[in-house]
Amino acid sequence: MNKKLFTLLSVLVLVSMALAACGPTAPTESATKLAVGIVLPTKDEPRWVQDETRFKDALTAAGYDVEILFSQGDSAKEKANVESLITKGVKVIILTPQDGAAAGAAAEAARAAGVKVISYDRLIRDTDAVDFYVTFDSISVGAAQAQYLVDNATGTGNPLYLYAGAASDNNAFLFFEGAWNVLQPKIADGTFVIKNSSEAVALQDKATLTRDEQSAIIGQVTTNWDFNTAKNLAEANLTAAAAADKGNVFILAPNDGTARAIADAFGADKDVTSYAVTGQDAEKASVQYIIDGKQSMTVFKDVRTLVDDAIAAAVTFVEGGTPKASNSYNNGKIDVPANPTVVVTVTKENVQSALIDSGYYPASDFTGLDGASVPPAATGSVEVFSWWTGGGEAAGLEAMIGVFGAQYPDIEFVNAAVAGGAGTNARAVLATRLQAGDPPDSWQGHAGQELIGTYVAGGQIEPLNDLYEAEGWLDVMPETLIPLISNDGSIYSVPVNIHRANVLWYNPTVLADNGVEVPTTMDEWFSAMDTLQAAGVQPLALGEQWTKMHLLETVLLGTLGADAYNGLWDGTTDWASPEVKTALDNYAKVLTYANSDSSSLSWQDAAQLVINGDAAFNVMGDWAEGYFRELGKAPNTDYGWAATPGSDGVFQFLSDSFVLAVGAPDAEAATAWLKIAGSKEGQEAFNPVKGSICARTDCDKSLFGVYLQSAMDDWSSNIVVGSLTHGVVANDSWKTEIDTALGLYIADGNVEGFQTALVAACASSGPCK
Amino acid sequence: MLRDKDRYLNILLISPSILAILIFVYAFIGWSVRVSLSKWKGLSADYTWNGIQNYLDLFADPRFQIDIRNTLIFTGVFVIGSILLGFTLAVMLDQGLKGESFFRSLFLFPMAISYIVTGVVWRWLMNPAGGSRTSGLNLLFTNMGLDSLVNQWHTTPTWGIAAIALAAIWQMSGYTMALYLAGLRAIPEDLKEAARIDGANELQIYRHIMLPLLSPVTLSALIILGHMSLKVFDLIVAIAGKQLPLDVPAIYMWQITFDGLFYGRGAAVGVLLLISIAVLIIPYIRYTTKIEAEQ
Repeated sequence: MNKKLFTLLSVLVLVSMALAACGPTAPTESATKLAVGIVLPTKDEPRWVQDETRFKDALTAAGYDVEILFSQGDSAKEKANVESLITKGVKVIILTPQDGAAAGAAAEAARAAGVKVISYDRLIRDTDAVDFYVTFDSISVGAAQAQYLVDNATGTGNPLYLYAGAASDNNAFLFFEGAWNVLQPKIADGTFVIKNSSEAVALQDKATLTRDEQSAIIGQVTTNWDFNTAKNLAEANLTAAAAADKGNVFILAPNDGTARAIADAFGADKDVTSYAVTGQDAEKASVQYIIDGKQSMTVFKDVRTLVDDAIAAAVTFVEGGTPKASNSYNNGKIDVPANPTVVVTVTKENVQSALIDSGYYPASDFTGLDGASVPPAATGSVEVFSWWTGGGEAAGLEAMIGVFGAQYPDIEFVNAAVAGGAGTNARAVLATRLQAGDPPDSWQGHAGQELIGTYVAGGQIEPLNDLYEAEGWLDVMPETLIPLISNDGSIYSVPVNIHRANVLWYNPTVLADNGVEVPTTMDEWFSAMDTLQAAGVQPLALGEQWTKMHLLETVLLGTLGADAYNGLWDGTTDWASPEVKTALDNYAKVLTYANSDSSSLSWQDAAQLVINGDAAFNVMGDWAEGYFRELGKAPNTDYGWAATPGSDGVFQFLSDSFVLAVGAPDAEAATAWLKIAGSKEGQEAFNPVKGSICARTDCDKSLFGVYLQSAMDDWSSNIVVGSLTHGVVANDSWKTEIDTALGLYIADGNVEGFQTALVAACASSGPCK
Repeated sequence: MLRDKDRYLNILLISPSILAILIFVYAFIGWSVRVSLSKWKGLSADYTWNGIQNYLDLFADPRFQIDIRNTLIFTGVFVIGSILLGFTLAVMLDQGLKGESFFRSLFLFPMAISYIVTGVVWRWLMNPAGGSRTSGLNLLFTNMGLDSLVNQWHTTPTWGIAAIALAAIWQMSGYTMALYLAGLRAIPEDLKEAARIDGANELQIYRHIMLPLLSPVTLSALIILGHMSLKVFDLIVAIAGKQLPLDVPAIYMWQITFDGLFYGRGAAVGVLLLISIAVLIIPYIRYTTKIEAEQ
């Protein structure tokens, strides 16, 4: 409920912890075997998560142990990571600096310890302690673009239009320099005539340009790497140019996004008979343009090759050699040797072999490829409403939007996220819009009764059974999940991610020191906590009120079992029954083991007590695992987990899901979004970044960490029941009444009164009569 | 007296704001009252007549009883604390000591901070954790050997809300000081002179001259602080989150309406809040308009 506030506080806690983390790092037992350590900038961008997998697979296959750490955008963390790897005895560190200049100190620490440093994809600056640089050569990218234009021009007087990247980006200069090197002789001999830059015309006889001269030209033809700027600039150039300056034109466009914008502008001009336009990055949309003949070429930089080259360099260093260098880059202090990774020119002729056959993209992503027939692309726009505005959630959403954009390039995605209050603000805005008859096409909600009780009751969302059947989702999602997200046989939402609520986190060291086994039943748990209490250990860490409701739902589940627990929510289990009384007595007993200051602790504070060894157990959803990893803790050594006592074999879930609005402005585009949200590709993009598992049971396990892999196993095999605190089993009104009853119970400790209030709540807002 | 032409022009000129206030204040008050008399529960509006059932439910609700108790404790501690502290500070500043303007700004400064910031800071200061995790004021007390002062702060049963009032006093006592200081400065020096010539000591001057002359200031302070304490919401949420032992009507209204979708009952809480504040404010407004009219 107050996650926002506690996020703020936890950030401050994290800052102080980060300061504390600058101290010496303890060595671990695996010290001698490790050969290569890798430090990557952040887990929040899919690029680096993919690299992590690629590095791990390739190095393991090559027979080397590897440890990969993430700096999470923090140079101090980065240095701590490097130091920790040094302590563990690595011989080579592959480092992608978060900030090129700030990483110097870390590199020097490695050099001092005799460890080789490979700067990966980004150059570590202003230090001599860099041994090798693995990168794509930006100059050769520009050269490849220019070479294509040169190869396709015949005769003289061909009109040439130049475009460049952002003047603030050093790479834009390198691309332009590479292109100029190739183009300039052909301009000088009259093959090309520059049409859109007076500065370039003035300098066209100069083979090598100074930085200032490059600046002058780029200033005239900059796209700022921006689609709209490129389009406007191209249109302005075309307006200014006479018909004689058009005809068969040649265009140097710096990358794919700008190339498409410029191509569209030139394609729409009636005086342009044909055009050749360059690009780079092999974006999906541009690959489609190339297949359709609307873009001439793209320069493909295969990140997989970059990984291979980094590994080859590392292995050479480990074996005592020096990697071959064909080039060098000045980092402000020394020239760092490098062997730039080869780039590939992709045109309509080799698109199949370079991008499809090499496994970079599946053929099904494109139309018109070797006669493969795919229905025409959908168009329109889809407005999706959510409260994912920060952290892993927002990054995950961005990743999923990326998948959507690649599959439906002609549908505009409008991200209507509203920040604040763990969704409370967003829901208030949504309620207003719905009452005003202005629904977004699709919005986010907790799967289950929170959605059904609110929006189905109000007739505001559409059933999605047809979509489930058409997409085959019923086969890939757990059978026991479907009733929990349905109402009267209609399925109302597409779950994107799954979190588990019934997880018992424990401190393995504390348990071992006190000779306590991980409990599997309520009674075992009580006796374990008695032992711990007698030994002076805080048995259970608990936080503020909503975490107490979270604990309540797991105790209800653990005492009643899955069937009777489900019955609480559909009216078949009597809230007044002696079984429920037993469960509430158990809950009362569990509370006696908890810390006395619980109401002043956030869930993070409580979870941290376990991590720090101040408490033995904590019951929290599995987002706690993401928090533990953020703190740099290792699964199974710093923290262990089990199903909460009595709930083994049961997966108590919660999920974020998307719905289809009744009267959606663009129902077709909204359906396309839901298809992505439910697809394997969409869920695999979202969940590793968010730190949750897929709702589908067929996601690639290697994308996930140790804990999440175990959760995936349980998700596909366990009985699925829903969480109360997180909106699955009870509608909002009912949940609020239970919350009030729980608050009163915590204040007065009267179990009978609590049960009476729960019975009344079920009658007033639940299915009980 | 205004000429008729001027009168019409005046009415014309203020009519947009009157209209806006009529719609956005009074019409919505009316609408809230209507909702509070309906059965509206859930996202779609439902104006089915429900009489005063929502109000009856509220008064029967043990949670609302806690809210009323908490509001009374909070108001008492906050208003009395702020007035005592504010008055003391004002008297001290009024002695004409060096650096007065510095201290004046220092005491006023907390008022410039939002309740959320105050709340976050006091959340740390009033951390009730014990043992090795002791921190904030409790740690300070322990280190100073004042162990008897170590307490549970806002997690204390029943009286926890008074700890929140401490933070509010910190925030608002400077403002109260400014009110009193202005009041003190407005008292003519010759009154005090006259009293001294009549043989009154300083204490007697305060008791018999200053305090009676300051009573309009005290009334203003009571009203301003009192209505603020009835509306308190953000400070509590920032310090303790939405927890029932520290519940107040404003939090209840927000939670029951936006988390629980009980629009009818939420509106009833809102109307009750409005009435309780009006009971404080209306006599005050009448009193001040009367004074102004007399002048």
